[in-house]
Amino acid sequence: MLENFIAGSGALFGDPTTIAIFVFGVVGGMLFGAIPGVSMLTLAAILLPFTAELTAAQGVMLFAVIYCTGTYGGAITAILFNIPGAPENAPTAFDGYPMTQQGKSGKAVGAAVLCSAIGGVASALIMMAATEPLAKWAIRNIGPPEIFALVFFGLAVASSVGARTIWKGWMSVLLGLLIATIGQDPVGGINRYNFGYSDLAAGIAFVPAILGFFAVSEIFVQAEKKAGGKYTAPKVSMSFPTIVELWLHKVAVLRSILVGFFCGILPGIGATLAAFMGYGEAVRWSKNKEEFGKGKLEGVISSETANNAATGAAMIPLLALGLPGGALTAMMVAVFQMHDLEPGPLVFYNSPDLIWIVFAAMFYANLSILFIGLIETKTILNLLKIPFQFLAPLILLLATIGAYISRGLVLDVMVMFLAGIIGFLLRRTGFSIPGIVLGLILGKIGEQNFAQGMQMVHYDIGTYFSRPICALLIAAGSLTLIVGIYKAFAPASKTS
Amino acid sequence: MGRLNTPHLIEAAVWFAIVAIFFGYTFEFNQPIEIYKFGATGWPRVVVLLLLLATAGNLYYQYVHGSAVQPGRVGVAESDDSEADYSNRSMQIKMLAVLLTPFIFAWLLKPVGIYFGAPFFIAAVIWLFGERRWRSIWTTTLVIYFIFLIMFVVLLNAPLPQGNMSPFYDYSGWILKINTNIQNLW
Amino acid sequence: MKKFFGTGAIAAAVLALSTTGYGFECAVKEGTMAKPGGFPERALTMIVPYGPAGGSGQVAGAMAEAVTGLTSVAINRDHKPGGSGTVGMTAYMAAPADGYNVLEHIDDASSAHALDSSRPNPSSDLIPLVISQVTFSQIYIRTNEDRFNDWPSFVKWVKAQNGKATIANVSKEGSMERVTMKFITEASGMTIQQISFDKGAPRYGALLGGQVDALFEQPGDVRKFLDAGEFKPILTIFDERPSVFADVPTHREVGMKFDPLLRFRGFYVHKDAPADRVKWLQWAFQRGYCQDSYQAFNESKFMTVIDSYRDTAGARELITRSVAQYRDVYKAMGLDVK
Repeated sequence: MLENFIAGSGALFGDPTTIAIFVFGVVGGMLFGAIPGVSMLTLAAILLPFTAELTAAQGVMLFAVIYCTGTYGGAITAILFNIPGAPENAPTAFDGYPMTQQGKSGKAVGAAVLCSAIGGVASALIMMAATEPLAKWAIRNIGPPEIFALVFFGLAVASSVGARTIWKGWMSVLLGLLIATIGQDPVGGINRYNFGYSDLAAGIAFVPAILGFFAVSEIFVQAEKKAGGKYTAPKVSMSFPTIVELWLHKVAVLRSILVGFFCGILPGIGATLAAFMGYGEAVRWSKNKEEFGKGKLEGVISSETANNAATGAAMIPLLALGLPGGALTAMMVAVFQMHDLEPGPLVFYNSPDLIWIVFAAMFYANLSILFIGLIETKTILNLLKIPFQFLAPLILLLATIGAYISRGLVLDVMVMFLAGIIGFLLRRTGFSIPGIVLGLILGKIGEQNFAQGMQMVHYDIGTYFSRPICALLIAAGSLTLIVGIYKAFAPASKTS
Repeated sequence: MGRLNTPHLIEAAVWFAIVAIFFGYTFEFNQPIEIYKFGATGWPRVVVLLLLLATAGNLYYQYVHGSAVQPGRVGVAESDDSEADYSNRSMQIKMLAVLLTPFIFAWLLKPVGIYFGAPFFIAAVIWLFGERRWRSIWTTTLVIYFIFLIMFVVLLNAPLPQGNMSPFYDYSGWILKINTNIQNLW
Repeated sequence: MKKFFGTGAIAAAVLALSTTGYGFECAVKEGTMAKPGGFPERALTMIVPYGPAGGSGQVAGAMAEAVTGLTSVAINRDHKPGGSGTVGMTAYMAAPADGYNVLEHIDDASSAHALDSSRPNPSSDLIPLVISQVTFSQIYIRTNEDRFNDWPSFVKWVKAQNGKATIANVSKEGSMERVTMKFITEASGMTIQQISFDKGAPRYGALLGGQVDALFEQPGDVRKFLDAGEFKPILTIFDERPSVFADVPTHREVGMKFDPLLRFRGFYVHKDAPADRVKWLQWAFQRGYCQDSYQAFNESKFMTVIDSYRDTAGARELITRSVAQYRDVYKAMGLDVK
């Protein structure tokens, strides 16, 4: 492994063009991840046609680097503006944004930088060692029933986070699931809920929904404050956490690496569930649960370690099976195919050089978050000095392009602004916007895998539960659900 | 009525309406699928049913506990203390304009396109956010418009909505022709 | 693993040898053509009703590269996936018919028109510039499968499972894949559970990982698995054996009598586009098909195994025949043909 890694590093840093692409990816991913209103997906969508001009290794490496640094970059906006750059940064905002409001943004960003780097580097190391054997295990042991069980478990966890009550948690998740049913059904391709509008056959994509719920609705909130004369620029500090503070959270970091890696490796799930699970587990194991969501450093640490830990893991199903774990890894498949390559077991034999350049680049990209992350964060912070009436149209225009570019549909721009309005209206009602988004992301995957699982077991529930991983995950999800409902009937606190 | 108040009832009515509309609409696509027992409606109907239960549970919770946060919940957003005062009419109109302007811009993208529509949208947003100095509005609009053109059109050649109505489409064509001439310089 | 890879390498070598046997002759002789009235004076927009990663996205990329290489006119690909190609088609029909907008589409446009004639007819509402990929389908199993190893033993095994055997297929009702599977099961008297996958990679992963027993697909899409020696075809749904798959029986040879439905991908322009511009586009796309880069792409996708080229007239004939065929099938299936 070490030999391959050194060879990959040599190929990466031996060619000036490749170095330039690497640096572009690191800076670009972080910048697009961090600028409110656009995300690493926007950059990836725009860059996709250009990768045809690069070699396959350069193209895939560029996307892998954007994936690592963009996953971190999204944390900056989550912390400073309450706008997660991507759904995998949503739990980061739970505690990161309250920290900003308390004038502790520096601590939160510092923790995000360090933990993203640690999670990412650890994940890259495990990825290098484990890709081949793990891929062989997963392809034979993880089928549609297991994926559905995992989605169910993920949604059960999501319903217990972010909303005022378990009921509102489930209402949020179920609304997301319901929105996901718009468009063609995944089994027969039958049009559902098109309400007479033909473009709805394409369904509601999650990229515009994320941009709408997070970026646009936040702009509406700022507009409201401006209109009401209550606008104040976010308080920004640059006091980074001390080594001692971070050392105290070593268990949280380790737990999130494991959780993140486990979630990231499963196809179709990726970093989003990793972040939610990382956060959820941190809460579950904490003695001071009530401090979460109010600016607790551990919340940022758990979420950011887990989502970057998922980046390396998500490469495993992608490279070994050609199965993408999320939107960005799906775009990587396109990069492979533009060079007439298919991600899959053969890549390990036909293009080991490509694999190891990508692996090495991901390792260094995560490492570079440490060095470039803080410098770039300061640049982003300067954005805050721009008066909001000039920043808002820029963000809205970038978001418009970001929503439009991935599917070329005006529908997506309309969905984004509609989601912005709904997000704005839902803010004070105690519903969970990340819950809605996760329901939307996992809805189609969940339904499809449920249908495939049912077809495979011939609608026999007994056969379904005879698959051990499946039974375990369904049981764990059900337990989470039952405990939540039980608590809902327990006496509530008097505060309202 | 327990601890239920009017906002609770409005909230419940909205959610029950969503349930009713989405359930009712399933009859529009209630086709069997030859290879799948549950058809196209199975999954959405289960989701709708669960949403009905959750909404009922929520209403019951509010009946007993009002708006109280359930103990042990994590990641609940702090209630916003800067809630605006919507009692005056100008505030209502301002916010309505803020919410609807981007949506109208999106709606016009198909016929008008982004190249023609963007500057008007940028200027409108700046104005809605309280800027009243015209010089400042149009200079900022131009700066943002040129950043957009250079970044997405000249550098990245991103395929963006050109509109499909004359003269807007012709304007987009003109911008793209200039871009082709610029591209041919190198 | 070494052994496994060895098999793959041999398979790849055999396939490579057999495909090079096909000569190719370019049907368009003119290497250049004057631009009518300066058209095109800016980049063309190619609407692709599918994502960049699938078969359509790839063929659109390869053709755009070939045409740009030939004419120096840039082509911006505008991917509008969704609704089995209907969303992209609707967007295309609403775009101005000035020749600057072209469309990539597949046989789904023909089957959609067959089911509902209010949808655009690709042969009359559009002008086909070129059809550049025509291919057939096959049934695949894992190479290391020990329960069956060819079509007869597969049918025997499936029948013994009482409907519990599974095959991975695409999801859309009335699609070429599902209609063909219906023909096959009826003709062979077997019952098999089709598992629907709307994306390729999970579909192939399901066969590879043993989640399903067989797979319905076109050879170009599973080439990597064929080259790796992981999948093997046991039935070809085409009227004759392509020489690359000389060992695989055709559906007619095993007693099935239906006409095979083909998968085809091509490029179109709106029927109202100015005639001189259409002529130039026809030349550019038909000649683009002859470019080395495009031919290399087609070869890598098994698209030279049977004749993949149709000019405007040939494309219209193929489309008209397909529409009639689908319409008959849909009526026989009891679907509401409008």
